[in-house]
Amino acid sequence: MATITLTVNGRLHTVDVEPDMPLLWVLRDILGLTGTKFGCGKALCGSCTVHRIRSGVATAVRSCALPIATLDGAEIVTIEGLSDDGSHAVQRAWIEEDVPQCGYCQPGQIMAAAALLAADPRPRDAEIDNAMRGVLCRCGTHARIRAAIHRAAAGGGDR
Amino acid sequence: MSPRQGGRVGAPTSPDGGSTSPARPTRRQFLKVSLSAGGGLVVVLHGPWANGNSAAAAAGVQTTSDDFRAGPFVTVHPDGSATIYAKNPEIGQGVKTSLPMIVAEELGVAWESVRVEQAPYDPDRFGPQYAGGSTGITTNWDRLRIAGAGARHLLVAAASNRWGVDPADCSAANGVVAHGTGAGRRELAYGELLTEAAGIQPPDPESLILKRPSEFTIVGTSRSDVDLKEIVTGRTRYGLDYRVDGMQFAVIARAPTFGGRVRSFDAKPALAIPGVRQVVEIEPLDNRAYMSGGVAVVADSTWAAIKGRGALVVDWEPGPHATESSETLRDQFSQLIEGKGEVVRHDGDVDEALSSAVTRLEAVYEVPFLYHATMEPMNCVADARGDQIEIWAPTQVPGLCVALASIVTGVPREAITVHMLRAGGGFGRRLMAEYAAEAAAVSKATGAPVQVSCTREDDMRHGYYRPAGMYRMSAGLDGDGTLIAWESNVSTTSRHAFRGDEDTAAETEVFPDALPGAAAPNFRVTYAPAETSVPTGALRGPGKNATTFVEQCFLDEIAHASGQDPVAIRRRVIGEPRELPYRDHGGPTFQTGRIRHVLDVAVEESGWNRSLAVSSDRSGARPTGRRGRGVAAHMMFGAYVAHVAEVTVANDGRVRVDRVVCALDCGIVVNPIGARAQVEGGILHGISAVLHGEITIADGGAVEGNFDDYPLLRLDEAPEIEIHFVESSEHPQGLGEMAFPGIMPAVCNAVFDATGVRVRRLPIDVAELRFG
Ligand code: FES
Ligand code: FES
Repeated sequence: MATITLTVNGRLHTVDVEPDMPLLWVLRDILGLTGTKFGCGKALCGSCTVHRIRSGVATAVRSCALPIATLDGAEIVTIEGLSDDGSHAVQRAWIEEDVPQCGYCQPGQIMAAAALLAADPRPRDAEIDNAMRGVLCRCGTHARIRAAIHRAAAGGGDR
Repeated sequence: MSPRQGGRVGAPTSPDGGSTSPARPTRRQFLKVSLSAGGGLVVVLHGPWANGNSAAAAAGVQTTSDDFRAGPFVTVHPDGSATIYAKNPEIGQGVKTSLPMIVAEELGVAWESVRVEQAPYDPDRFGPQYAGGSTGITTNWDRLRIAGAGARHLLVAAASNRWGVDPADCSAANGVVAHGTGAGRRELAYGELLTEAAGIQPPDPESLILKRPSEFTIVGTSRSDVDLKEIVTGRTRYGLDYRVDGMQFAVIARAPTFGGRVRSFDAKPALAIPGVRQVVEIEPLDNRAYMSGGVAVVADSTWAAIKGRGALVVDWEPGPHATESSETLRDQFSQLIEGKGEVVRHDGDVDEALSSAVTRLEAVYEVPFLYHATMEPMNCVADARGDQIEIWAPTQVPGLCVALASIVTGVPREAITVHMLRAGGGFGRRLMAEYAAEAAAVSKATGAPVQVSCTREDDMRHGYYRPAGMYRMSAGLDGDGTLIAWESNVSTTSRHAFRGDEDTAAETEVFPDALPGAAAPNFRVTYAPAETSVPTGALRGPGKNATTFVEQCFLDEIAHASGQDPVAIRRRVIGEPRELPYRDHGGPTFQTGRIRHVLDVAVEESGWNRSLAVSSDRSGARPTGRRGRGVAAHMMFGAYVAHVAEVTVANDGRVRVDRVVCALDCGIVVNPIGARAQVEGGILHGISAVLHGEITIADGGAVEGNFDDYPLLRLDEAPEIEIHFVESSEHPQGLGEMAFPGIMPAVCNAVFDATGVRVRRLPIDVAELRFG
């Protein structure tokens, strides 16, 4: 067992788990933050995307492929922490464009899109495709994902 | 079926019990509709109001803590707002929004004042509750309109009683009953009428007046998914997110070969993994199609369960099909299509017509097993402590969950409750319910609530795949290029046979009344199921997702062989507007005028007759390559669909779909934004299948395990999509499945147009399309 302390959505947590447990399962099964989804467990689908914050900069990471032992002292933001109330520019755009169908992949999509816009406030289609191709959607919300990212960019990301 | 512990699971025949074959309780069966003197629709209901029996419907009218419950679906609150139950499982097809919209329309309230709640599973109250066959809208349309109109009737009656006027002179809209005009206009809000309304005898459904389509204010307008905000904030609880106090997490070790079983196992290494609590064996059901058993590892977290399973040592009995492979199946198919099958339909004399034909064509087509790939893998939570069972399931068939949980535990069905959770995709996969059987069995064995979940590898290697099959096609034309003979000799891994219904093996594998074959005076369809242990089930557009590909591509071959335009030959086959008999789901008739119309719309909107260079892509950054355009049109489940696809085939053979135009006639569209989403989803799903979809079999098991070897369509591969719904006041049809099959032949026909290479086996083999 390993004792790991990390910040999730601004709150400090200390967990006592097997060192190889991926962050995804710590979030879901230990901390009860089930907004981050399991899709493949192998960094292939993007459902589990969260932000790792380093020096104030958010990077999209696949939580299923991050052993908790590597995250002592890390700062993580999940979909539950992106905003308190769905008011993040990306979430608002997702609502305006009615992106979700089943919705299961959408937390991962939104986290990936938020990280993209934080790094590149005006991405073009090719950049959107490139940043978002790693997050699968089986329902086929692709066109609305593109539209929502453009909408969020036009409205000015708030990160 | 009456389940017993260890008993054989018969094939459930009611939709509620898990079959995908649709019941069609259309209004012809229980309603008569006529225009009243006032011009409104009078609906005569032979049978219950809403759905339960009349006594239950009457008992459903009551006041509880000042609320007014009218029938099983509607509760009106004193503040005038309403709660409407969503009766069916939500799997991303949008019924949690669209079905309550139908009720709200007739109830006469503003959509903004409606709160939607997922109904509990209780078919005695709500009628059949399942998601399959794209039937949600079409089979509930009348029922739900009556539910809303019945409640409105009571509220109007209460207001007219108070005013002492004729209810026929009152109107109801936006939660207000009104009488009179100008200065004499009086209004009462619904919330002020609840007590009086509850005291009124429930209406005879035969007397209810439903709105005319021109009066609709909610149906036909776009409404956001009722769970939209919950979804984008991560608060929606899917099956995998459900938690019960004291719940443990389990994964199951399943046999590496289909048909395999546990010989013995050593639990010790698994129990040595920190967090692992128990290891229990799950017996397969006698009919393994419904649950094939294994060894469950139960732990404090999903990760501990996965690790524990990795340490577990199981000795597997491989079963009778351990040497089965994609190659052995192809060998079987090749033999079985040589005329050995059952004759499903034979008109005229095909042999004679083919031998006298001026132009004669033969081709063999093949389709692979396809995996559903719901983004949320199969899972279920069950609490089987004591003599009751509670189940929380992302499922399309709560009724089958009850039936299977009852069989594996011996607990009577009446003591089993199922909660339908929003599902992360379905596509037919959740029409099976082995997850509920597994969860109930594990919880019963451990005495604790448990969540049984699949890793992606579990889900992919233990699916119920779209059947694989082979199709020998023959056609003959006379000197005018008229189709005079058509033959399909088909062999597939029948999904009906897989679950034990050998008698109906051909059902949904071939469609003997479908065009183009049925347009030929000499027409024969034969079918022979292959012997296999590979599990198969319904996948979006079952059967059609193979036959439409084959038939619409073969028709294209015929067009080219006889020097006809692909659109022209389709118009010729479709012929004059008329009704053809159609016995499968979507019948009883096939209306050729409707298929012709959607074909014309798709052709027109796509610019079929313009050169492809002008319909260029959005970014202008496509790889240089050969461009082509293809078309397909079919009827499925009562909806008529035509696709035109434009592709670019790069010199290295890679196919990219640039643009898709789709026209549909599905009758009245309830929620346009949701309808479009279903069509887009079907199209992208089809492109994904054409480009990437294949489960291969080796050594008796599935080879592919995750998205590295079973790729799904990614964002950069998604084309522009244009969708055209034909204006219609016809009875609404579903949409979840209809746009999936036709895109596959449209893309393959476009590939032929671009390259001259005919794709007869899916997925597309890039190597065959290399240039130079
Ligand atoms: S679950 Fe992490 S990328 Fe798929
Ligand atoms: S919305 Fe269902 S997987 Fe993306």
